[in-house]
Amino acid sequence: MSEALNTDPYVGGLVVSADPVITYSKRSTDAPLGLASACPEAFRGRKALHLIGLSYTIEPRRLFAELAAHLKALAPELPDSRFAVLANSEFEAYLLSTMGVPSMLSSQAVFIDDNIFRPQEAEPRFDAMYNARLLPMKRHELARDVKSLGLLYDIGAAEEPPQYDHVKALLPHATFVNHEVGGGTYRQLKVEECAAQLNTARVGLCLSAEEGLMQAALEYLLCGLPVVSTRSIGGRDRYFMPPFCRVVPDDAAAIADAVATLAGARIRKAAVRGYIMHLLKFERHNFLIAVNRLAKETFGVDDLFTSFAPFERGLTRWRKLDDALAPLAAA
Amino acid sequence: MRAARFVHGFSRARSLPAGDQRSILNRDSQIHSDRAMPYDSDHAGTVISADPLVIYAMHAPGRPLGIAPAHAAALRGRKALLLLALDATIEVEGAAGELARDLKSAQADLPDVNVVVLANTPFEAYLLADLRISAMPGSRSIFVDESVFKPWDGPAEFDAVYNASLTPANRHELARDVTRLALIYDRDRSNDPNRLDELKAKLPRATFVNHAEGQGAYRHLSPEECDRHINRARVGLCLSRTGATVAAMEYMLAGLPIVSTPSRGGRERYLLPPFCRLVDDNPPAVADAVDVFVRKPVPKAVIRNHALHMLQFERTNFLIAINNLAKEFFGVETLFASFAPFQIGLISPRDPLPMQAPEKAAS
Repeated sequence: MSEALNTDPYVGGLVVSADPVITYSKRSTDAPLGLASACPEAFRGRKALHLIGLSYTIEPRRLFAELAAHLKALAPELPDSRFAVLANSEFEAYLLSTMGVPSMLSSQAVFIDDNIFRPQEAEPRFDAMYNARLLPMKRHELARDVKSLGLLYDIGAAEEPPQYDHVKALLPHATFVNHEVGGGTYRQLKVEECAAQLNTARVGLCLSAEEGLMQAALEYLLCGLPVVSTRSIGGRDRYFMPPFCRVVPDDAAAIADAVATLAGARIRKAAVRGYIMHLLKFERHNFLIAVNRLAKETFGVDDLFTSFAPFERGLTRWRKLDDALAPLAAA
Repeated sequence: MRAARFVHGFSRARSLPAGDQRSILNRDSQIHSDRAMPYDSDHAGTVISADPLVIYAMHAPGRPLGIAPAHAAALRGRKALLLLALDATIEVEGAAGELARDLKSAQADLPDVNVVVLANTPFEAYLLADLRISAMPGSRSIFVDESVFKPWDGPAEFDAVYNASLTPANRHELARDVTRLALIYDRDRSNDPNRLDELKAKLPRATFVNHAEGQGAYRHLSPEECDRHINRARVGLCLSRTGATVAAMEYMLAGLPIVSTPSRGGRERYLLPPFCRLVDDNPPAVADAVDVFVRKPVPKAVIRNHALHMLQFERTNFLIAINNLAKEFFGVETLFASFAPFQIGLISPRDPLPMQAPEKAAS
């Protein structure tokens, strides 16, 4: 086992097909190329196709150059492996092409579980909900003018400075839902609980300037919430079209105005859900075509995947490396 | 920002302001004004923005950058972004490598022109990236004009329509079991004088619309006329093995469901159930699938809305990407505030190359 495995036995990935070998992984600090980085010996001497999802935008030059460097470094170790980076936007695909990094446009949104995040009957409690870790990059302060505001959050990794008190001071009027349900102390919510909480708001917020796809943006839409977002890079704006989404300047008043407009519009949850499901269906259809082309190119196999089902197994969820690789052992 | 057209066998330049038409319909091989490109009757392309210079052009055999060599000379020393669409898929054996070689050679001459290939599929973009060719997905179908292709009321006379030039690659014979069949077409680019007769023999029940409209002689149809004839049918057909098949988007905008054979090169991108049926490469399968849609019609408005929703999504993301490219190359923020500069008939409804063959009267 590699050193990376000893320090970080969890990966955001899975063996999607054991024969032929196809993996999906999300990049992480300790495993920049996912399963292939975390456990290269599992793939040594066997032909494999690795789909690499982006957990953070690669738009800044140093980041896409860094990804290209990681690929170049691992290539000699795994000469029989082929890598396809899944870009979250057309522009990311372009940037990677300039470095000779093969990529396919396939937003991470396609892998979100649309069964868990769905509209529920609930009495609206908040005008807006912001589901984001308590980190400075999430710019919670931009929500300060939203009068009725709920916050869902992770509190951040142990090594990061605690932000709860800081954000509490910035937004004294907000309801900190995780602390509320924990009776004053932080409680991690299950994804089903998150979905229920999202359904108590009229609008979802996205306020960072730069990140990855931002899964929460899709979760809002799948629950039937329209979205107010600042301009951003990373791919979330891919799904932000009127009349269900408003992209506004980095200004607290503009955000509050947009929230008031969308909350007041009383847009039906089913309409928002129908809108995003149509787009996800379109995206999944094209992901499947592309991944089958890649499988044909790599292994000579026609129509390897006849449906999207193999990719609907919580691909992006963090799991133990051994669990992620288990299908290889079983094969 | 002004858009100026400088192309097209099947021109819709009439929709442009008169001034723009004058400035570009200029056969001088030098750039005529600060916002005009020279006219050439033999290729497809458009100046989308003159300052900074953004050009949309179509790759074609012998014209790697989609523009004639004289025009390439006019571009020398000018900083420009050239969006290069593909007229044929590169998903077939050897095509990506060939394109890469052509582009590298052509670009060496134009160091200030940034060429970005608009791939019709994510896999095409993958293949090009693997060869270090700057590319991003950008299907040609997003440029179809939805104000031209739209549903018409009225009873349908035909079970199916097939809008495709009369080349063997389009495999018209797969439609032979469709009872009431209409064909819309450009003439055969290979100039095979026997192709029409051959197809008439193979498809004796079919109505050859362009010849019917020309009372026996071939008549070219305007996009609006094409739309009217598409609306005379209940189903649209796509039967070639490869290609982006812009006609598929035209069918759907007109409200027709689609029966297609498997293909490479981009048309499958928009062929989602329940509005499209993908069938095997055989005439009974094609006819059966047509029959299903004929017996259980889908409302035209539903199909059109489905197509419009996909178009809106694609255009939104195309615009985001193009603005990022413009920022990267020119340092300009939000160069295009809307998709409007691209909604000027960038692509022909069918064959982008003008026909050179002499008229051949229908038998």
